[in-house]
Amino acid sequence: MALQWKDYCEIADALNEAYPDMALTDMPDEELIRLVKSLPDFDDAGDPDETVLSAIWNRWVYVAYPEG
Amino acid sequence: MAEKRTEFESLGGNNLDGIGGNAKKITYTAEDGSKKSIQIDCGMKFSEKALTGVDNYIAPLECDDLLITHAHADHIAGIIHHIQMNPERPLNIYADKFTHEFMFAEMTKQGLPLDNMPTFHDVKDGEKFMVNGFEVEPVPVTHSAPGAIAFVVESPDGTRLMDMGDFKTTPVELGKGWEDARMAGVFAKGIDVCFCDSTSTTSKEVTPSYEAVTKGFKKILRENPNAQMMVGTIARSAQQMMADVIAVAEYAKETGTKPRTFILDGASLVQVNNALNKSGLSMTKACYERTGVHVKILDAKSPEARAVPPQERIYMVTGTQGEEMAAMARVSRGENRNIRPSRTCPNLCVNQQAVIPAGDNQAIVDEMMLALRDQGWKTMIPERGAPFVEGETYYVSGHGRAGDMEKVADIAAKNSPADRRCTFIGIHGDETQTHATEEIFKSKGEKVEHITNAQKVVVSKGEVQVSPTIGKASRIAVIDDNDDFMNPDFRYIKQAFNPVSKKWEDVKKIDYEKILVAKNDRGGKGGHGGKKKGNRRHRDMNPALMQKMQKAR
Repeated sequence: MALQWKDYCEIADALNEAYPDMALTDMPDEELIRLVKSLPDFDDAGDPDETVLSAIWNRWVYVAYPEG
Repeated sequence: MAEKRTEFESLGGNNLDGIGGNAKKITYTAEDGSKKSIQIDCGMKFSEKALTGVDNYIAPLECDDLLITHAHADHIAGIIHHIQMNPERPLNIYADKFTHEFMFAEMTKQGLPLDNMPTFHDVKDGEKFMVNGFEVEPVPVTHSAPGAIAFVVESPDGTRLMDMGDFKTTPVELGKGWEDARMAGVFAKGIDVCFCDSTSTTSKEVTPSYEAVTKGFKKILRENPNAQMMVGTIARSAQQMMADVIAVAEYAKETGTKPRTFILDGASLVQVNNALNKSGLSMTKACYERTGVHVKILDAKSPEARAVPPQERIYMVTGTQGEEMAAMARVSRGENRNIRPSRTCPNLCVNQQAVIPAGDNQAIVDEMMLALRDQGWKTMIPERGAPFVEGETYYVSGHGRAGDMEKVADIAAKNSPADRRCTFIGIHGDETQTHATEEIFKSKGEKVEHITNAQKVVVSKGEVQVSPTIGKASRIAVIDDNDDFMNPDFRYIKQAFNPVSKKWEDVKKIDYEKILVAKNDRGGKGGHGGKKKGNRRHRDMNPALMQKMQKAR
């Protein structure tokens, strides 16, 4: 099923699969948007708000860093 | 016609007598008998599952309007469970922006759908606001977590109550904190009842400042100028981390050397750093404004971090108590992907938190530190209860001691209106600590009362009374049937305290539909472990220990 902005957990998992070695500190919102839109399963023409982007970023950090 | 009155009630474990985390309810009853309430904090108390079968207990959430004093689990961790049990509830949360950012990060970790997120309202020093008929004034205080707040709550009849939150009276390193003049102004307007954090009152003197940490950390830098360093810390207690950053800047300035670079390893530290930046509390910026020195803070996964020479690195890591999944334990096992002992310079591990004497924790930390030494790391860890030594101590608590209470008493005595003296009540401590707090205020000529959980403080026509009867204490037992904190299956059971048998009894199981989304794995291609790893960490980090750690902050 196509990913939409609100699916932040699934987007974070997909980002971590696609970019496992990405450093996430200080990532600009524009870069995060670009990476999400690059995901093959992503299909949402809408614009994300700050809350959505923050949720995706925080969840991505959680799944990407095994050090807790 | 009812008598107008304002009531304060401890819903949670403010007195550590078996009820869940911190939670306090303030209720105003109007002449027509109608009531309005707000709640302060909704925390969690950890349980020893091997003994109780329960992972933790959470305080009730009895109001839709919630004031949060700071971002520690014993003040906030009950909220997400209440949302899961009642996702349609229109919950409004009022707190400092850092606290909000941190809470949001925690809620996304647990996969709370965005539609079910509470509405966050940022509060600021000097900006009063109205909530459900109460006028609320946030007053910054100093604690290990940035953005800690005391709340002055004025009910419609003019009664003014102050919950100090967790506090000490020395300055903060980040953001706003305790100021004698600010608190003097609060008392000058009249406070009817002040509720004081009492975790550490039996300890003498004032809790040392974070400036003391800076001095102690500079000594470590001075004595280990060429070592690659790894420093264990508690992520959300960022005031101490900031003291380390200042130490690095000042040391570089004093010696004319290049400042070391901080490298954050682990999700919690990366998220806290982000929350600080989004809250206008950038450590890099604050350090530069104070010292004129630019100290870099990097992500351990970044290429820039890998390019930093080992002797210029300070890795900040979590896992001070040997938690298996945290970075420090991973380093000790040679499993950390980012941190290895250097072969070109000495290696120093500073565990910036004393061992909490609970369960087999001493053995776990000893084993970890021994393994680090076997790898070539020199190790340092503060000794619990060791006396403060200026220039040596590199860890301090975020809670006030007897000297802090005396300072509050002196400020109140000097500034409170003669016709509106404050009554002080100790909370958030065991009976020994709360009585110690009350004795200090009493010795200074202030009025005091003593309460236990579910015992109301009633203020009517300016008179303060403690209800002679104790209400029905309740809590919710949280049981993870998966026994896996990364993929939990929560069961919630409401419990009530039976005053006759003096035991907690199950009232009912709370049915709910699961809305939290578990973490599927440990980092996809780059991750490690799975369910059993999480399970083991849960076991190693025993709940009694976690509870004591909260007190240690």
